Amino acid sequence: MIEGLYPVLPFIVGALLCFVLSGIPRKIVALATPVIGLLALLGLPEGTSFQISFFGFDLILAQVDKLSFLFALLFHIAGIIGVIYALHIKSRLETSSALLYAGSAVATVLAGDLVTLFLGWEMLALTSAFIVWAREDNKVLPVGSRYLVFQVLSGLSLLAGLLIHHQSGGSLLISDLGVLDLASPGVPWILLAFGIKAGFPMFHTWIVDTYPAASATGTVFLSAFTTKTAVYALARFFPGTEELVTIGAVMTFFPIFFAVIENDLRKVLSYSMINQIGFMVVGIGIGTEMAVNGAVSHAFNDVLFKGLLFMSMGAVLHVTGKTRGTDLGGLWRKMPITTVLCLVGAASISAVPLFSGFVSKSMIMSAALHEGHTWLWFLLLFASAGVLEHAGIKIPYFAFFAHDSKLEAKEPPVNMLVAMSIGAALCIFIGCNPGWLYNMLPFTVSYEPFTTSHVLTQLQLLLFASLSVVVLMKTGTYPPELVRENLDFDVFYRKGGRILGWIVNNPIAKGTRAISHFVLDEAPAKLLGLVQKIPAQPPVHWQMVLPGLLLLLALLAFLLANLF
Amino acid sequence: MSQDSHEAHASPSKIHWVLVAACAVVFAADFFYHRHLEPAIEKIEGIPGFYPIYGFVGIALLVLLSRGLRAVVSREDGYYDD
Repeated sequence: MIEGLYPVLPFIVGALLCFVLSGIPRKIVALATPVIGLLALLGLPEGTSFQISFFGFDLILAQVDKLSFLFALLFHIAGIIGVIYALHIKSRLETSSALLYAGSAVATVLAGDLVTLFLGWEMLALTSAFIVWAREDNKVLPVGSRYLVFQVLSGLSLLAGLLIHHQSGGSLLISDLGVLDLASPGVPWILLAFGIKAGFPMFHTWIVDTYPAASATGTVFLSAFTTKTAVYALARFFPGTEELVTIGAVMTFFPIFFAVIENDLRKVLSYSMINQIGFMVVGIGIGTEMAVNGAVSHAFNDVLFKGLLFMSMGAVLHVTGKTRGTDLGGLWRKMPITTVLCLVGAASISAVPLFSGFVSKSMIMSAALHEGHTWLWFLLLFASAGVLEHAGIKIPYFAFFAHDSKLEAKEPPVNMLVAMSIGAALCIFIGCNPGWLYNMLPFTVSYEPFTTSHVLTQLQLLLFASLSVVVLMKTGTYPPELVRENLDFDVFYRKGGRILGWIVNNPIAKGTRAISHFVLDEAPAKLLGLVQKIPAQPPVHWQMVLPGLLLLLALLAFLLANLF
Repeated sequence: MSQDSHEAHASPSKIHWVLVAACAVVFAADFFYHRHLEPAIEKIEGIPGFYPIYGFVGIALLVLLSRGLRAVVSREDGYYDD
């Protein structure tokens, strides 16, 4: 371990170096960055450290307790896996952005005050947008812009929330805050900020818009940090907030239907991610020690198994250039190692006993029952079966089995296989030795996952759910993969935005042009024409000055109103 | 689909029979092993075959409802392209 080094610093230096270096040196720096960060994290003392003064604010860059340490550790592990997975890429922009992005996530979870948290939150937004844009494909330009709009909205909401909170006398120090009360001023804005990044219903569309569009390597980074930072923030500030139980329940429920009919397998995984975050949000909303432990450990596991699944689909994309179920199939002969690694991820997310999802998900469900949420428990059990259907069966089946697509394929580069193997090994390790992860959880709770009853009932659920899928496929009831666009909530702003654009371009723009033409050109010319015949001013001149003048006036008015 | 999958799998029917056998074993276990029941849902959870039935029917419902969802939200590819 390294003592006295702020763990984010290596990421900043590493990102700068990666932008100027190339070839082998760049690979070495990229690999060393998260490793040095990890060593620095292990050397951090418990409690606050690295206090600095910044524009009159006393910032606490690092505040280590069990919750922040666990997420920071997770982000370093994800960073190491991600860097190895992306070791072959040549894009400086993507490598540097990815390192800064991982560093921002670490900075956010280590933050000891709300201002530092906000700065990390904004860096997270900016750096990740460049990862989206780094894919050499024109289609990602609008996707990245839409992505950034959501991230900026989240940042603005957080800023508004913490300003109002501070104005009304609230402390900015995380150690003073404890659990935030939704009834106190500014706090709803803070929750909204976290909710946008966590993919709350209706704010979830950026996830399913962006993650299928970024590069094979980019999505692996994107999927690890943003939503999990939001889960950390929710677990830190909103445990036991009753509203989250309902929000989380909705999140576990609706994506599983979209996942059945979605053709793009990375989009299926994106819906699956919302479903998994739903489980975490439910756990945080229940708020008991066991529930929060379950939520936090599920976040940890999800980064690993969802990362593994995204990596396996990324490998398929890298080799074949395709991710649609209709284009894929039968790849297991050509990509046997990738297939096996994907199946490990599929078993982990489906909560098969001895794989990592089993314990964490059942902690949340047990907590739901203990707190009297019986109906919720039935819903979560249904959602669990749904996860098996889309992530456990559909993903590996349509990519590697099903009908042979006769695509040319081979195993991906060695670095991709190594990264996937590390992810798979961790999924199995945590699944078989849950104590390793569970001793690091925020609360000490005794929970015995491997009882005969629990293992048996889980196997019953999963095996019969699988049988159901087989029967539905054999009878032709299972909906076939189709090359279609499935509308989601984003239709309202993606189509609605065009209507707005039309309104701005047509009635408003044309109307103002006509008015300004009359007021500035026609009327003066006619008035002056009565006195003296002078030629009318060229209209374009005024039209260009007018909006600027109006803007200036508005700015002046705004400044005056605020100053006095 | 089953026609094609014969090419892809070494022997898909064998895998299916393994699945059916595994299902039979875990279903039968309910009649021989006295499961620990959660007090809150004792009456429902205690029914032999509760979890198998829930898993099987749950997935069937999920898939049927998803077909309905597809009927509502499915549009031609490139719907958002100009």
